[in-house]
Amino acid sequence: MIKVENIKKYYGKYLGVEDISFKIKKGEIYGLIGPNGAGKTTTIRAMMGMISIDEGRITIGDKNIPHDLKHIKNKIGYLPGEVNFYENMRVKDFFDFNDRFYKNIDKKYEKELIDLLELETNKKFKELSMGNKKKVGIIQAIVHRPEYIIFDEPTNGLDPLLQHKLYNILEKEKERGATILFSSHILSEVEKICDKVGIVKKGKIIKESNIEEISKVSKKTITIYKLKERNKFNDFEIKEQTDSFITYLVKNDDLNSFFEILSKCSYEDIEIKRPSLEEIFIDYYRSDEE
Amino acid sequence: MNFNLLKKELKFTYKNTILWSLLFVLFTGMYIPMSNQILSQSNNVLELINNMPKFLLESFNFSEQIFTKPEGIFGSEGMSFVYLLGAVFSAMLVGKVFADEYEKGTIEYLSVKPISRSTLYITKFTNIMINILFLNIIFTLSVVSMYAIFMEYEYNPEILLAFGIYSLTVQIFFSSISVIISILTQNNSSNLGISLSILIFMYFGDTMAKTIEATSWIKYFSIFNYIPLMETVLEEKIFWVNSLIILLISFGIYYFSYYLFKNKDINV
Repeated sequence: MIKVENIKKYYGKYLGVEDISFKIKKGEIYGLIGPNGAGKTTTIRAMMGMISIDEGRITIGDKNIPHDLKHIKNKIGYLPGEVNFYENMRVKDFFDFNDRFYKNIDKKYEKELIDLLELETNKKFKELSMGNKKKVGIIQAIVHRPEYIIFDEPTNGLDPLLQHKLYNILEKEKERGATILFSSHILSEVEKICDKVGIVKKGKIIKESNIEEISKVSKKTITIYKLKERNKFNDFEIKEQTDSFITYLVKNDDLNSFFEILSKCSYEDIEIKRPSLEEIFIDYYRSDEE
Repeated sequence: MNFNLLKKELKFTYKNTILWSLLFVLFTGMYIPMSNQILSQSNNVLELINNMPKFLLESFNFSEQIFTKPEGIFGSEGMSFVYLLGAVFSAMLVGKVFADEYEKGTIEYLSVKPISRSTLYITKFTNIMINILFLNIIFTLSVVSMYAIFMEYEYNPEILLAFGIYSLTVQIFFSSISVIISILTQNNSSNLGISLSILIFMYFGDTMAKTIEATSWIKYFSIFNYIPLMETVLEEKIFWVNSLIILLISFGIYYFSYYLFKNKDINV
């Protein structure tokens, strides 16, 4: 289990994180989502012992971070947001160097990952594209089959095909029993693979929920074309309207009453959209500000 | 100590150290035969020296006695270059070992691998020591062998060993300064800038302190005051204890840097 409790970090007078708490159970993928600068990377770096925290407590397994970090580092796989390795090292030499930090590396598994991600290992790191650098980062993070996987914005710079491969890799790691933290500012990808989500805003977790719950409390976007009796829907939030159509934002709980009214009205067409997590996210942000 | 990391560290620094060692060998290889020639024509040189302003002579460690001793010419001018070049080598070496890791962000990778920050520091420290020792062994061997080959006049071999010890002392001192600057600034340009400023302050400050009365206080802040080349050559006195104290101070700075390295946030 990974446990982060009320951590606080200030860089001088500037806020890093104010109050971040979450738990990740074994075999769970937790998504930490929020815009750039919200505090995701600060939280992750504190978990990796790279920066100290002013308050709070971080536990990975049964070890306190940063004091007992050295006892658990071999069980952690970390991918930084910006992958920086040794520019003049060939990828294969880098993997050899990386492997020697761990006991009993399964070279066959490493080869599988290299083949799966279609990585050219004879090139020097400086000759790789951003996507290929990320592939190197992914492999070095999971080649030792860690119990805890911490990925900071792993899909940055990856094309959709590779993103899909990464999701599959993480799913497999999850099945193996790994505890995974995945940060992102792209909510649609978190929706695809995470079991639980923490929404970070200005250094705080403003909402924590599983994906289904978030979707449940969210709203549907309903667009009705050529609706004549618009005045019957005064209780519902209007997102957009023109002469030809009107779009409402209807809470999932209010759907029944909305359609009851609609059934008594005349209209030409209807379009119902499931909101994206981005829209849900904006909703949370807005409600928090209100 | 982590041997995997040490191997990588050595691989990243050995080429530069070999090039610097070659530079030192070439320098001694040109300077020492030249010293022999100067000594063989010392009358003309002494005439020139007697006509030079006293201030200029003191600034450049020139004196009649220096030019009449076989260890003198290399021990004054040659060793001044060795001091300056050695300090630059140390600052650049440390920059590559510490500051570059911060600047290029690779310290993030190392800090999450299963080695403690203490092991990381000790391994990097070991690499710096290996490189500095290698350079100074080559330098000392080069000086001793060049004197043996080219010097026709009688000289004191112990003084030549002292040159090696002094050079080692200067390099270890400036490496310790560069380590602390690298960790504090996490930037190689700042490391080189500040380290070389300290070198210039100490070296030229010491020269100035010897010639301008009002600035004589500066010499107390310069390590070069405590390993004086002129006295070593003229009085045949080797400042072993001073060298040892400077080395101990340097290791003290290294220890303080270790504390900083263990506790300072890594901002990449």
